[in-house]
Amino acid sequence: MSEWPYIIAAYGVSWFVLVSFAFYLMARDRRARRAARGESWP
Amino acid sequence: MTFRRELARARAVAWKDLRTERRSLANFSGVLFLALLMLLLFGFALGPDAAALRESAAGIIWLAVLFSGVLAFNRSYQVELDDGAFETLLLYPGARWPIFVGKLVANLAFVLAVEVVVVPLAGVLFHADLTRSLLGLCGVLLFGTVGFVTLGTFYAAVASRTRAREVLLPLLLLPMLVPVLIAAAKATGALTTGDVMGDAGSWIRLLVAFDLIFFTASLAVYDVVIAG
Amino acid sequence: MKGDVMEVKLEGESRAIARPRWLMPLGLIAFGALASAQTFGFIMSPPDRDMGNLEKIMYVHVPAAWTAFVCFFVVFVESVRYLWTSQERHDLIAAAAAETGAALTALTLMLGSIWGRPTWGVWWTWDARLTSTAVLLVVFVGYLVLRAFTDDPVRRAKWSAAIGILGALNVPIVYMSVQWWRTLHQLQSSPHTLLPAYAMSLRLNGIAALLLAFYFITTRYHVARLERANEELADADALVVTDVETLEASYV
Repeated sequence: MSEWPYIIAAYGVSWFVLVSFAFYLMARDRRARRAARGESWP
Repeated sequence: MTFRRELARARAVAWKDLRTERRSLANFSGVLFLALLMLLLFGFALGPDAAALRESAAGIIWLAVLFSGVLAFNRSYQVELDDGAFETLLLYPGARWPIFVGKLVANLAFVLAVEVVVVPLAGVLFHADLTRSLLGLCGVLLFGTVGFVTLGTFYAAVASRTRAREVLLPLLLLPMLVPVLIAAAKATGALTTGDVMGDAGSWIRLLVAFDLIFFTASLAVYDVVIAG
Repeated sequence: MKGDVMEVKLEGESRAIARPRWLMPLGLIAFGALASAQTFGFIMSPPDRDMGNLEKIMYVHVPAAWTAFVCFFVVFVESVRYLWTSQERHDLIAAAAAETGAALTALTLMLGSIWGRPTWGVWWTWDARLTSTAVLLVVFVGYLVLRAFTDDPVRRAKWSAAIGILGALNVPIVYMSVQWWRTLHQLQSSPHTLLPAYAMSLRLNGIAALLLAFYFITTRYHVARLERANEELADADALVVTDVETLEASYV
């Protein structure tokens, strides 16, 4: 069936975007916490 | 402050903006020639086939007006910003809407003046028959430009006071112009090709509706953006 | 609020920013719910008569679209509330919803494209839904870029609120215009009909997506609070140690 590449792509892209966004939020949080403690961040 | 007083203030703002414009004619010719250049570029990009150009003429006209007009809007706040006159302007008692209306009128005059040259020239370059429904065409140009200038004057109040005004104004303004662009281009296209389907009237009415909606909305929040 | 309390310190001044303890677990639950709902949809729904197995893409595309529009609605509501109350809280929630909404809208467009290619043979159609979603994305991005280039927090909040409200008003107008644009030319409208057999799976996926969006917005909001506290203390610090000339130079 030629449809499966598209289905896999759809689910793959969805998870990639959502998980990346979650990581982005965590990274931003980490940076804010470091700044709050007065440290500098890399 | 009475309404008449405020209206007089609006007129004063418009007049001042226009006079500053007249003294630096370079700006008007700059925008005008940019628009004309765009017409040429569209012509080159879309190919020498007369039929294809005639079909795209309406869209090209509006795109050229939009892209070159965007330059005018940031400038309309530039004068006050450069001289630091903004704070003074805001210190005057009274409402803010005269500032908005005054600048809107000045910008409207500016863009209409550009169109007076650009539109006939586009007709010549793209073999579009503009004389077919001249009155209707003038109506479309007027109402389309009003919508364009209303939103442009509003968003320029924000963009012109940021660090990235050249990028920010188009970025904020152009998505808002999609309805106006659709209606104006469609109406212009219909009027220059004989209006076979009788669409033009509906599109013009839609355009007027858009103008009213956007003018009201812009006016309602202008106080927030100009004093913020 | 009990839970994770972050102390923001600078030069002896400090402020406590509390964060709910259920935030991290919520994230895990939300992702878990999404995975479960998707598995359920995969297993429970038979191939469609017309679309074949492609209807399974609906379970990611439609929830993404729904939640993107929910985010945009949140931006609108919180923008109005900010203008009404001038409480910074509403501005921060709006901004959090705008970021989440931008990501979800971009996802929606990508998924729409992936769905469209095998279904109609094209990666894009100029139908009302896709185009108003594209315009929505640009509106979100413009909102976020404006915030990035405005340093004064009060001005940033006020301008964002104004832009957010106008942008929100524009999206249904764009939708309507594009519909007119198409019907007057009798173009094919995009068939998005959904049979009841898929409704349950869709609903589950929708709820999971909403939960995830709620997690994203809440997390982003609390991070924003922390960032604002940092910003305020940094400003206060700057005012103490900087001389007048340097200060004036920074307020161009």
